Amino acid sequence: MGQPDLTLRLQPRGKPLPNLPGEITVPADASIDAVYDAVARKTKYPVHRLRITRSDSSHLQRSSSTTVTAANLFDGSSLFIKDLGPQIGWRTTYIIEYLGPLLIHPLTLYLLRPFLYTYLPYPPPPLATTHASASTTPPTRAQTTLCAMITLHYIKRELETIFVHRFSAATMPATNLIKNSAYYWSLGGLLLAYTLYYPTAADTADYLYYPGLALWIFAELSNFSTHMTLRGLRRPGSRDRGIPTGYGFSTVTCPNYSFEVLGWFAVAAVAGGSLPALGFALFGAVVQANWAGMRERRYRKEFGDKYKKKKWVLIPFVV
Amino acid sequence: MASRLPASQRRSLTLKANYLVAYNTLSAALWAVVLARVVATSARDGVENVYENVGNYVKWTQTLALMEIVHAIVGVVRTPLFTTLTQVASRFNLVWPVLGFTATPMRSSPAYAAMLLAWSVTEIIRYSYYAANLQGEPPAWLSALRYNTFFVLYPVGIVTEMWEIYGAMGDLEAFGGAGSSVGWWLAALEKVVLYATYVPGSYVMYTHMMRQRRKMIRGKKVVRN
Repeated sequence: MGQPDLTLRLQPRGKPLPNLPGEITVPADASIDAVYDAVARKTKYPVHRLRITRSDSSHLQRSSSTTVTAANLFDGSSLFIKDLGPQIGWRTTYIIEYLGPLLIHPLTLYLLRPFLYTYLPYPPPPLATTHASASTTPPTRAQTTLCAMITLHYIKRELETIFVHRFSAATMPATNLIKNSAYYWSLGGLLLAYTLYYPTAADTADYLYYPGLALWIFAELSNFSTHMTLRGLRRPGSRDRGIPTGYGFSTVTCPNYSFEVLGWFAVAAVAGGSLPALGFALFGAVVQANWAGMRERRYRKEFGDKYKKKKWVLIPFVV
Repeated sequence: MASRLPASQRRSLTLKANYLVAYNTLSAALWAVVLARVVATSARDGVENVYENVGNYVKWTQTLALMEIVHAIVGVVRTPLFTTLTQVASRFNLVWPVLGFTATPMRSSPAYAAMLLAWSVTEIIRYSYYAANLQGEPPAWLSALRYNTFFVLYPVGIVTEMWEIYGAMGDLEAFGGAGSSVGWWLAALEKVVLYATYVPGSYVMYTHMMRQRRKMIRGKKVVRN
């Protein structure tokens, strides 16, 4: 109060927005959220579809506590408005993408197995064993365990998505739903199920089976612990960002990813070093190393000297 | 932008650039040795003995390119991870599973020597170009090589790679010995790679290079006018 209002000039970035006014006037103590809301009202676009950048193309981050003055905006400052296209909530995307493998694994092992391998190729049986028919071979110990492990893993993820994760009320482009779901449903679901539950598979030797199982339990529990740490960084309904500390976080930037990766290598061990399972674990490791790298760079930029730089982002002494 | 960075970050930028110049120069040199050894071996002992002489050296030179995935992850280069991953993975597939896992007769195929010629010339030019680019404007002849040689070298590389994978399929299937399913899955994977990824992948790579080439030529014209 008492301070003069600010007039902000608005310009579209990318394709033109039909109802975008040339400028808006907001009180000097208005929050950034209020600016977003004002632009959304005027343009009649849902607020999540809008991305606002300053004239130096830095992102004007949404916040309910930062005022326009604190965000370095002055009377006459230019803002660039971009329509991000149709958006979808992170939570919705997660629930749908995990549902694929969650259903596909038990369905494949307990229902589709006899039909699937009647029509699709699978490795020939080892020499010196008689070739039992696909429809009558019972699952091995490793196969039933793997199915339980993978199904439980995705149940855990679904529950965490609903009850643990605090998303920043942010959204992602709706096309991501297709992309992410394609990955989880086809690679994590169909491909892994098809390559794990084939009828001629040998059971995994004890020296891989038991350590693998123990490692997996450790990884899943540790992963849950890191998710609880991350939850604690954000008050409910807020967009708070903080520096995570505690179990795992002093060693690497993203121990939540580290334990996730460890869990998938444990699955590959229980699968007797199955090539597709190893490939899936390795691919996941590279992708998550990349995310962890981006997270480390964001922490350094966002928190500056307050953040103690990490040497390793995902796996100590590797990356 | 750069001038506004704190001194500590400015120094790390040059450190990064120096490292990348060193990495790219070393890679160019390693591939130059490949080229020289392939030519010398072919002339002296015949193309069927190239693998025996150069195979291991190529395998490890190509394995060094895994560093490019690390570069993308830690952010020293701006190339998106997925692009790097596909480029590195296809070469890695050739030197490790296809030719490295079994003593396949495809090692003595003339296609192997031709593939190494295409690879080494491509890589010498590519890495030299990167190294030069990091230190300012690369010489015009180097840019010309970078954006013209692929017309010939890419098809040679692609066709010889496909030929090698196709020919090694039987040996891959037998990998791991009787009683193991590893070879069967490996061969299944290679079939998917060969029949489902090479054709669309080649199209994407080729058109990407053509776009880059057009961009480069247009950029030159703007500078000169």
